[in-house]
Amino acid sequence: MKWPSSCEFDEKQLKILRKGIINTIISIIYFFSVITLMYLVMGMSQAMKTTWIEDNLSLIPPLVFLFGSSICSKKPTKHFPFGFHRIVTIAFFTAAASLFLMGAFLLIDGLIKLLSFEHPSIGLVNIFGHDIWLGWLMIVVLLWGTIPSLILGHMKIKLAKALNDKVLYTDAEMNKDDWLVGTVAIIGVLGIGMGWWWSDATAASLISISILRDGIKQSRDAITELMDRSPKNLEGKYSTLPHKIEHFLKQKSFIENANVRLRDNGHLVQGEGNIVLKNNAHLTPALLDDLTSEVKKLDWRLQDFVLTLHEKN
Amino acid sequence: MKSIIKILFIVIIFLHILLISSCKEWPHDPNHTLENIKKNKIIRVGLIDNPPWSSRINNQATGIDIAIIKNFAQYLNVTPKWFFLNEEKAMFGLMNDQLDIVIGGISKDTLWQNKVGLTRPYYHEIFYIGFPPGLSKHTALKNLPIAVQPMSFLIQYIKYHNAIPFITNDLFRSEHAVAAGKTELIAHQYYLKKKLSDRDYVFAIENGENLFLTTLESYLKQNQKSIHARIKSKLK
Repeated sequence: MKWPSSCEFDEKQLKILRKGIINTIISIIYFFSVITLMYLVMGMSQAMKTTWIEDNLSLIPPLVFLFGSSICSKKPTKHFPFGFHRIVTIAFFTAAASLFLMGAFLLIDGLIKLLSFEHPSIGLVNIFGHDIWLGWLMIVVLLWGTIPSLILGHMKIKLAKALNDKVLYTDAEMNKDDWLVGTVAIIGVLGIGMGWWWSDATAASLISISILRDGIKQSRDAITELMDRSPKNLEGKYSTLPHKIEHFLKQKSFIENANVRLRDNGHLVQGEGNIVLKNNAHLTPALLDDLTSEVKKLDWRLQDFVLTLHEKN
Repeated sequence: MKSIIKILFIVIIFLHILLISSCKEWPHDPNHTLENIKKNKIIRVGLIDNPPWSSRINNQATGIDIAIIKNFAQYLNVTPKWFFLNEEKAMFGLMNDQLDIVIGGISKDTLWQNKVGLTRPYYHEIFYIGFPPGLSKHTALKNLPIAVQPMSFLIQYIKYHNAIPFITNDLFRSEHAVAAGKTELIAHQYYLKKKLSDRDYVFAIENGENLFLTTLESYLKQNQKSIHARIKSKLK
């Protein structure tokens, strides 16, 4: 008697996973460049500081993805008979919680700056012998932090859908939303140039609201997943798979009634079904095995599924 | 919804660019510091007593920073009005728009750095323990008396090296080893034994007055050579 295999991906998906890993490594290197450049030109701007912290936080999902994809192929052990899938959700929850806390901290920080009428000073910087206003350099760096990130995000979304990987999907969504953060920060910096001192702290507060919103959404998602709620798809809608399986089982001529409960388990879906046979119908262990295999074929994520037989009452 | 936000942002940036291209001066002063200086023909300068950068001798303002700001005022075609103040009063003066600039050997790492705007450093000095010609280069610093000015920030570094601070106003007459700036030590032909610290000198202005800040910074940059020559000759 064998437990379900631990390797969840087929050959085609493993190829996509490798692509995802390469893309993620490129993202990490890219974000390091953004973080370094932004640190160098940050000056006194609160919007730049907030964007800089947002970019630092953007490193967490790709790191969690790399960590998760190396752990999820680990075989179940005697003491961890269900495998190590859920560690990704736990890591994800930690990341989401840090996003939430940081967002809240930055929002308060931005509002304090706004309410204390803090005027940011931005002076000149010497580039290759020429003096230019540091604000222009900030805008160039912000554009570097926005446009490539948008492209990376679009690339990652496709891979995330093929692998049903929530971490990669969240990472892609955050990258795609970077344009909003970048544009708000650019408007903030241009505002300082216009002499509107409040534009910087206002932009910073708006950016921190976006971080906070991501944190709340992702924390809720991770907590409810750890609470074994019914599976959701990447877009956050409840999966129709339980209905699909029940419908499939009920259509069998020898089954009178069936119900199914499923939960997310990392990339996979895990669960069980109860079936009640019709009068005079019989089910051998071999037939039950076949039936389970047929159910598993309904979705590749369903690799750990158990059917139990119940008396009619 | 998202595409509406996108369009809105593009419109805002476009309007910004229109506004910017119609501006003669960039960036702007929220409190119109430069405009007021030029209009009133007066620049209000807060002086912190800190020789040789700024001090009051016979009711006259003298010092390295004062000479620089006198020339800057001339460049703007205005007259400086000096206010002798302690550091706290001077900084509050800036924050409350009562002064345009505060000078007196202010370092880039001043505790006021988040409250006021600072220029780029106009001078960088490295501080050493220097040995007089009569003292062997191999003498250990431990328990060695080192001449240093009263209240100097260098005292903590002397203590860190287990040497003994010898407080005096006349550093080079004591014949002890001396803790001072590189320029001064070399002028007295002292041997540079140990680097203690370095300092970037800046001016303080009201936070966020970015047109005034960039005007002052670009003046300091253009006159960097003559400013450095003047500082070096004064420090000797």
